[in-house]
Amino acid sequence: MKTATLNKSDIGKCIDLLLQADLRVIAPRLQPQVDEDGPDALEVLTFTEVKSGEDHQVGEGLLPLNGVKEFLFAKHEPLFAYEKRGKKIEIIPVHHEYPQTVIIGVRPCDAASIASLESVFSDANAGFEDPFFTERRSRTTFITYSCTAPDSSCFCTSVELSPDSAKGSDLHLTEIGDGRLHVEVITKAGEAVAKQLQDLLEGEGDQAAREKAGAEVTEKLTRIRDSAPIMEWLMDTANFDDEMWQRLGEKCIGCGACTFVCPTCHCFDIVDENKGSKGYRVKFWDSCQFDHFTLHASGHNPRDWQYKRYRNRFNCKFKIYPEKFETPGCVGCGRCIRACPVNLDITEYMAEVAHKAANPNAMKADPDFE
Amino acid sequence: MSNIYQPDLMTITKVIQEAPGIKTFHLKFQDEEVANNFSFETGQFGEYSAFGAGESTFCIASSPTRPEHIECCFRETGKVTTALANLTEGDTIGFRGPYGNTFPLDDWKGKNLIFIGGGIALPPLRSVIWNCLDLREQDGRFGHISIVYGARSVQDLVYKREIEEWNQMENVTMVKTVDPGGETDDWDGHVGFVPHVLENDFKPDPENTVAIVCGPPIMIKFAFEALERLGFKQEQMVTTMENRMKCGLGKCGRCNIGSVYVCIDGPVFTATQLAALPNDF
Amino acid sequence: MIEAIRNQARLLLENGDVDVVIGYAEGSDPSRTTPIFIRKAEDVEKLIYDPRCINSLPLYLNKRHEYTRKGWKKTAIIGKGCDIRAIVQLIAENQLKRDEIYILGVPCEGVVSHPEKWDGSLHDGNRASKCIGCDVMTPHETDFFPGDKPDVDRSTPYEATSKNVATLMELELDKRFAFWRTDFDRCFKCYACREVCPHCSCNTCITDETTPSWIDPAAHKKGVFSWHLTRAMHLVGRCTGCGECTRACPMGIQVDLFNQRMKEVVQESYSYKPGYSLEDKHPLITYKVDDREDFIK
Repeated sequence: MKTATLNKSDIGKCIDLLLQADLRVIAPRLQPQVDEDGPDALEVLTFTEVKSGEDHQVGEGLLPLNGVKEFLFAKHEPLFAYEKRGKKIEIIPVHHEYPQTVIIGVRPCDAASIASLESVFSDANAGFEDPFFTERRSRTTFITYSCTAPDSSCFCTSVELSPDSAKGSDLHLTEIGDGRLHVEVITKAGEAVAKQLQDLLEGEGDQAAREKAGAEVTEKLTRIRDSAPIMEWLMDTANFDDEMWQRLGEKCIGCGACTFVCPTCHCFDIVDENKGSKGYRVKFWDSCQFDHFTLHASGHNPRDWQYKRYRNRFNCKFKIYPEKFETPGCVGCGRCIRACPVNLDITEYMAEVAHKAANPNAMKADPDFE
Repeated sequence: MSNIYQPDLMTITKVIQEAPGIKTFHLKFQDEEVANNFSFETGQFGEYSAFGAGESTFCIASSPTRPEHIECCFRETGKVTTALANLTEGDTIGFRGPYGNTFPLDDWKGKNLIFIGGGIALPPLRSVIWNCLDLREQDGRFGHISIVYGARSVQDLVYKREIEEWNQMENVTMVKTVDPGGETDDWDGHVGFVPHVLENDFKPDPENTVAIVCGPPIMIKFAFEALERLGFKQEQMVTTMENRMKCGLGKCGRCNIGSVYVCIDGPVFTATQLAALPNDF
Repeated sequence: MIEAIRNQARLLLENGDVDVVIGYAEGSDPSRTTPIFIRKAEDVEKLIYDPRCINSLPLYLNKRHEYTRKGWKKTAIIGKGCDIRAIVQLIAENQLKRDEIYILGVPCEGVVSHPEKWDGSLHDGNRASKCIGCDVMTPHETDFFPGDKPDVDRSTPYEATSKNVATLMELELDKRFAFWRTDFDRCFKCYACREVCPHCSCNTCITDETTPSWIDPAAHKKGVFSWHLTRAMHLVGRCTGCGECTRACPMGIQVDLFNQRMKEVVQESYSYKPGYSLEDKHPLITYKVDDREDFIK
């Protein structure tokens, strides 16, 4: 694998080089606030298109709020247009122009989620290939950046990842001290980008320093959970009716924030939007946490209470994804924990399941709980 | 790369009002090449578009042995079905499909078949009933065929003329019923809920028989329990699940029961397979 | 102070006066607290109250979240001033009966604006701007309050609620619109702002109606703007200023600036402050003969 060294201070120049090569560049950037200094001001860091190398926060801040999901699986997009003419309908394909894109500054958790989205939207899934996802994916290159300072909500090491992992990366950067980055070319797409940046890359990098940095940051994670017993515990359908789901999930308010910030959540809805006799069929993000998500036309709803909907989410991350799609459902990014307004914590569920798996004779149901 | 979300256009060649609020459409593809290449197996479903309103999921209610047109049958309950119900002969709708798995007809060779359904759940059964009747007429591959079907009242029965047709056929037993209070003065069928009539009036013999059930989840549950009490084993019971579906392609995440996606792993399931699934339907 | 609350909660549960006490407990992180539903008297030790307790608990009294109250006849709830405003407003709107609720009021000197800003203590750098000028630091409507309740004059109108509204109002209209267009670019219609609101209580939200579809559910500009403007209008005269909608937004959009501005407008037009009277109906659903008409052109 080709390696090199890059100065962290040259990242802005890297972005400019990529822009000059007519690539669309997406990077973490702080969003403007109404009042930058006031007590309510937050640092809002999101992945967004940047037009200059001076306008980025690559490698700073922990995790952009939005992740890279929206650049592959769009928040909303037209599938086709239609026009009604009397009894006839004309379907007009919508032409999408996806520019060649480089997303720089992607943390390892977000990078690991790409394979999960691919397993849902590619033809590996029942032979149906989502052309919109595939087009975007094939034109996107990921320059990833190892973490240096995980926060208390991060738990990637509990789901078989690490803060310096190169999984899902095309070109991987790791800070090795003295303002330098160790660069690893992982894929052919990464090689092409490295070529664009060759004037800024030098030497062979420093593998030992890179591994040392990786080990050091891995030690910093404080939220550690044992995820090994989870899938097996979920496979036992009797556990689907365990009392823990109601007990832990009763405070969930069904806001859907967790599913929208989650890098592997992929649910969507399709509606027609009309303008007179013309319109578009639009696909857009939906959430299994919404109360009408599984509502039948008859009025029957298999997930009628909120705790059942959260139960489905946990199952999706720790059973459906690994069992059905054979990719990770949870990458330990911690966004759902940070986003939840009522501090519903997926790692609490993980700990509860691990405890129950280790103590199968513990009381199955709490008779005092309604 | 083809757009898996884009439907093919079909013309409504006939509209039949089956019951209050329930209609059947006869449909033909507008593009000849699509029409020639189209085939499906019984049990599969499609996503039918009313352009401007959206898509709705219905089974293909016609049998593959009668391919002159395909049929769907639906109840007017919401935005899309109301828009569909407002269409007339000659109008255009969209169709995506066929999706899903199929009824395992090969497993039923030489067996007696009982089809059990209620209300708007007859259309998925109708496809497989005609498929089996036609195949049996061709080469005698199935034994006796019985149909147990009921609705809330006489006027709510779907496929009324076919119920009478099946009633007249040789080697077919037609057991029709309406809920208590739904009978008319000249009603000549049973009165009672379908699982009840199944267990107490019809009392089928489980020997060398397969039971195919379709209905709302609660009816499937009761029917399976009744069949078990009559001596049927789980492998002898089959159903088709009509979960809320949207994409039909295994991607939108709406129709799952545990790790099983109804749109790609179903909608046809045996009772054995259902019993292995979590209580999520 | 919290001991008195815990004791009262214990008494209520032991005597069977209430089925559940809704309060705050330690969260899964030192900077966070979490809502807790106490049903057994011995669990009251878990109740806490400090400036990290930002959640508006009355949202669990809202019928959209009715599972949590399934089978409960009477509920006790811990409330700081702004939460109690929400409870009072729910009662005024007939969403709740006064005798269904036992309010355990707590004195509050302010809460942190966001868990991220908690550094061990509350100070001017992290106190939520809604707390500035608050007149319910000693709450106005309670069934139990640890200590004396001094008289507070709450008749003063809302001041320009925050610097942020004033800053935006100073912008030219097109610049203001440009600001919102940028901010709303990151809204993906998760509806967290709706679900945390104690007052969003429609059984089927207008956004979920399909026959017809009033608001496009997709997160394009039309769908996003129509949602937020509709939400702002539906809360005019009703929003009690808890600021939870902004806190809940996973993309850091200050959605409650609309609500704050509308509160000022309602104050100017009708001299009405939501959340202070158990009986008064809010101005947009009532008509008084002496209502101002000078804005009708």
